[in-house]
Amino acid sequence: MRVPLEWLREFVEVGESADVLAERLPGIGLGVEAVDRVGEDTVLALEVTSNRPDCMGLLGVAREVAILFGRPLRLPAEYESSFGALRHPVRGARPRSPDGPDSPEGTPARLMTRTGPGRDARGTVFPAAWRVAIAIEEPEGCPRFTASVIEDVRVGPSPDWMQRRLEAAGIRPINNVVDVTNYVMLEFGQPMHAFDYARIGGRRLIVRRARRGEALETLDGVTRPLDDIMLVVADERRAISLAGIIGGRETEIGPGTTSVLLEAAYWDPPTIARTARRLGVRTEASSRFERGTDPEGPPRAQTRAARLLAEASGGRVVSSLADVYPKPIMPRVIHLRPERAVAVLGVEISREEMARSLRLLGCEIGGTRALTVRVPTFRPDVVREEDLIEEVIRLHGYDRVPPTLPRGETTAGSVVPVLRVDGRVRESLTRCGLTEVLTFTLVTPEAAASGGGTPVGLENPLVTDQAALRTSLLPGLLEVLVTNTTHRVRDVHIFELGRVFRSRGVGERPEERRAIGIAVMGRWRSGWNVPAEHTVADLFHLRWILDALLGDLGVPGWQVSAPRDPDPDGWWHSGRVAEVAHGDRIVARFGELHPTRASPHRFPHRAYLAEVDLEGLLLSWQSLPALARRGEKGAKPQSEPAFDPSVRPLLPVRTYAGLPRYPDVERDLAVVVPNSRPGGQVEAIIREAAAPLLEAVELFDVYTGPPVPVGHRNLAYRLRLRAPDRTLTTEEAEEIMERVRIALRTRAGAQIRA
Amino acid sequence: MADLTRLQELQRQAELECAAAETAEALEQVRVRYLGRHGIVTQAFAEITAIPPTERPQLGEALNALKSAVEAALRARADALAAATGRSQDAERLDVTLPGRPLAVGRTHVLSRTMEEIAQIFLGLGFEVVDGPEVEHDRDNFERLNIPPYHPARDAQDSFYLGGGWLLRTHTTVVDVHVLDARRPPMRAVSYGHCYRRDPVDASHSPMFHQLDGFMVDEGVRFSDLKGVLLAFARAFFGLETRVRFTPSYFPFTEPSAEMAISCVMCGGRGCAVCKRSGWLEILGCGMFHPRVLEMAGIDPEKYTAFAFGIGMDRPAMLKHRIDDIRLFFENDLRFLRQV
Repeated sequence: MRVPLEWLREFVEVGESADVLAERLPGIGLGVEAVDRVGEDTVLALEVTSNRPDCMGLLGVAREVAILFGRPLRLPAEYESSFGALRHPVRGARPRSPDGPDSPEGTPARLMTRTGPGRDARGTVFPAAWRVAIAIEEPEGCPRFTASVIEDVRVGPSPDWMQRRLEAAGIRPINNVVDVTNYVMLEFGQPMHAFDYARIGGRRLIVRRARRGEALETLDGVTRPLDDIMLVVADERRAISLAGIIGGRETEIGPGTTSVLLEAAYWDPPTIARTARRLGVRTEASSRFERGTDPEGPPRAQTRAARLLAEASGGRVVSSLADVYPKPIMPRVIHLRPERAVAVLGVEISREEMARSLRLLGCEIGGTRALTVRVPTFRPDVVREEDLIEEVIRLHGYDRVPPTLPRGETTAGSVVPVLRVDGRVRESLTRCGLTEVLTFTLVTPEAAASGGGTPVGLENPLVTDQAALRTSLLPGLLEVLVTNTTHRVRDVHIFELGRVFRSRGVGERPEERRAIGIAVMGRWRSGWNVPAEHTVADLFHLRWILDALLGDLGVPGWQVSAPRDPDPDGWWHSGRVAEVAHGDRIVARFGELHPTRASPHRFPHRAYLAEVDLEGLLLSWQSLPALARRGEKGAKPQSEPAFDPSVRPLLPVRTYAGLPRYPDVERDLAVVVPNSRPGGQVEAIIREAAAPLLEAVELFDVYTGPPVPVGHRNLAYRLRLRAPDRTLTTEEAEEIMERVRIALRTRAGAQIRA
Repeated sequence: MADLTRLQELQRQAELECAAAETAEALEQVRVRYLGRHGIVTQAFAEITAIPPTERPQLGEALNALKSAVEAALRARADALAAATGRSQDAERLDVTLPGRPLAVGRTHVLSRTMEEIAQIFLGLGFEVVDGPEVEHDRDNFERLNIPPYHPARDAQDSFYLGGGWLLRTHTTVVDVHVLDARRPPMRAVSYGHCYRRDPVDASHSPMFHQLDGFMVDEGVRFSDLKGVLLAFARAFFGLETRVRFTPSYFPFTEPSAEMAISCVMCGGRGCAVCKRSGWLEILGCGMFHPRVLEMAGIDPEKYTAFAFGIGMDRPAMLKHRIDDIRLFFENDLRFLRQV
């Protein structure tokens, strides 16, 4: 809401500078977004919250300013008086017999108009004349509708002062008639619409729902298809205005217009909001109506407009005001308990001050202990006691509430386990040299499709490249590799901890899973004279990171193997990919990025990626027995137990196992095995055969070439043996090594060298 | 057989050999010869079992003295050698002004770090840190927070819909609804994470952004408590000198509603470009939970009162780290991420 200060000063004495206003107004809830100079004038751009339609007119703002500075409010006479003799419309009144040529015929049941003496802006009373009949078919959507007819209008530019004010307030002057309606709207917050009276068919206005298939060309030149949830103002034949939102082209005020019909109505806010959204039209009018205008506003706006129009165009009111009010909106009466207000606010405010504040806001106050508060109709936001408490503290001043700390029992803070897991993941991966990234959850449909499973699409995406939810973290990580390569950052070691989504079917809640993505590319150590070839990340660097991660999470017993499932989305180098299983569940996949995915980007190094299904891992590891039982019954895999983030998992505590008290014995072992024999199996055999005195086994060399036979390789292991209770003798160590050699020969077809 | 004379002889011999050692390596050989596992002194200790028990204490004492003397001679010579070999260390001199050799050092994203840091502050104020899903139902995200369909407040929270009324949460306030349903007062909780609104990207808007929300329900919770708790947060996060300002605002789920601004972290409140000369930076919305919100959760608003607050996380992180464009958070340019 743009408030020209010169205009504001018409209603309230404000000697203060714009800067002072900008500093003080936020204290009563009117945020100042900007202070602009427009010509000689200064304009405040106010941020009016959506609960305050009263402040979408200058008078409403003036009321607040007057309260803030303790000054009187000067209302234009029209807003205090009523239109003609009709201060209050009579409910359900039927029209008297028409006395003019435009009298309505076949009056519908809800047709309610008032006739009476009209008068022009100078107060001259004219004989009552029927100029228009009004029928409201939708009283829910249109509780009140007023119309007046003004004749002898000469359409032309409005006076300079009016144009200046409109422009300062951000509205383009059009002609004197339209400008007057806008002027009244800005001043009073009541939007109005002017029709060219001559173009209204049958001299009748009907407020009804649009008919299916009906269309209306609106003032902006767009022909809009209407549907039957939308309200229109129609004449005998067709819709001529989209109710409360925008007028129709055909009845627009033009240079040839001589008679004008002015509409001022109260529209049901949700009805206006629904239509505006459906059509994607936002206007000054709709933004006021959907917040809720003052139901008492229309007749006053009519009076004001009639006077201004007389000044600006020479027009005169010829009909009395037609005021149809089938659903009168009564002022609310609310009780305010002063002690409740004090208890909620935590500051002492007297009953008298509360009453005084509310009176200033236009409330009528009664009651002996609790205040009985009659709320003015221009404050539709005030509906219950809490709203009055807010008004009281708003005027008292939020800054006068002392900061306190909660009383009563102290509660113990805590962090839910799942967030502690997140913390552990971040700690573990950053220690491994990875930097955390955050990529968009919203991705292209193609990227979403490449992650496996059925993606979830957005019903209303903003842009096409953010039209689906990610099913995998890999596309985002690949994007980060590309971004950084473009910026000539050659060593990229990153991870993301985020959620991935899959559809469970139309209308079903999408599945949401925590996942970890890792990408490593380039050197993990650099500096002068450090050989690059030994410090570029490879598959086994990535493997070490996963080892560290799963170790830090305390996951027991997981297995790495070549993948059993194919790779339909083509993420992986087929010879350099592995899956990590926990129990029956694949919990992670890692490997080198498929060359066809990598090659377009000219990466400086090969890229290695991993994705961990953290949710699956936690489920699997925390409830292995339950999963095993389901497996036996052959239950459907999608019937997963809901992962309850507040209960599980508990991160295992690392415990101290003591330090060795006796010396170890180290023995090396060279094993020649066929290439087809996975090293993981060889190591497993060693571990099993050397148990229980094997403390550690380390692979320190892998060799192919003479003298190792073709199709074979030599794996060199160092075993560390130790007994917990004595010094191991050479003989005992040799005995263990012999067991290992026999096991390798018989179970792995290995030859043992050296 | 060891006798005392022989021990004296050994001592003299060892001292001579120490003195004769010209290098650290030679001295080490002397040490091994006398004190090593099979060294002369060590052997002599072993032979103590071969003499009559009555003589053992005397011999043992003498052996200990011998061992100490040899050790002292070794140490003295080692010190002398170290002093003398200054010249050979000179040959190993390094240019200590050369740069260090970097190891990849990871760090968390500035936003997740900010969220954790702020959650820790509330943890210290007795709040539970909880978590919730990113996909929510319109009912919980809006209606349970007193925002019916076509409410004007929805304009500011234009949502991404997924079908069936499911949407991407537009605020973490929705997590409050789940906690209100699951627990009974008294309770204090905060949650944080991604939120989504249909806002086109610019320097201060992103369709994906971050929020931390919290609330407290108990008997006798006051608006003044809200001010006190948030003041404590502001000082802990932005610095003890931070001042706060509460002004009236509007949220459908709180009444009274407020916005909290902090004194500008750039200019200290004097007015600068960042605070648009106002001296204040708005950083959060808050208020007393609307009684409807409590009623819908089956909590009697006459008995219990509650405050709630929601803090956009992107802005505090931007202010604290002097980041001028929200897009930097999601571009994942390592040159940026490594700076903050």
